[in-house]
Amino acid sequence: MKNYLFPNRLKVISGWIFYLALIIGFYLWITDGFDEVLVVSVPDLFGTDSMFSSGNGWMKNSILDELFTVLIIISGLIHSFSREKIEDELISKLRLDSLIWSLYVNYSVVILATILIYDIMYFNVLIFNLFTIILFFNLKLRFSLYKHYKS
Amino acid sequence: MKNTIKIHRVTHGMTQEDVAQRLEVSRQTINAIENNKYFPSLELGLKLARIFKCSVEELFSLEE
Repeated sequence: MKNYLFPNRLKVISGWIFYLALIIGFYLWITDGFDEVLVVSVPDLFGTDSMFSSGNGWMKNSILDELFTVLIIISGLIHSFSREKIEDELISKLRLDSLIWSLYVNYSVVILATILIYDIMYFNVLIFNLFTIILFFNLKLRFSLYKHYKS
Repeated sequence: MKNTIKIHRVTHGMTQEDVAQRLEVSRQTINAIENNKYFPSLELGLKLARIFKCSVEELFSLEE
């Protein structure tokens, strides 16, 4: 049966990259480490009106945070959707159940944050939300698989 | 839904691992089916019936 999963050989390496990038990225975020590294000219497609913009369609920007964002999302997706060694229908059901569970939990957190957090702090919620769906899904799936393999 | 897979399996002298290998699923999946923790698809049910040379109705039945 056709599915949209990645090969099993990518599961371990993508898992290491995902969790390491998540930890290092979080550390850089709380220490403001993204600000002055890898500063290059990037296309200012939407005309950002800031002091970094040169006004000619380009602006100076540290691309470290963009690199980490892309790295975390891609490795997280590959790790979440890599085939198990024996990918049978029960594993598919566990994967689907975990995805539903993680969506419910993630959006419950978002709703709570929307009600309780305001102004610029809410921007941080949106940043975290980029990664929490994948993270919640991953953690729930690994826990379900751990229980499954232990049975 | 209840099933008699364990009885059929033991009658045929097979282990969960044997059945799992024939069906290309994990041993844990056979264990989950036997313990009514997971209800298999129609395809897997038909394959189980083929292995034990019986009808699907003999393997699975609705609880009254």
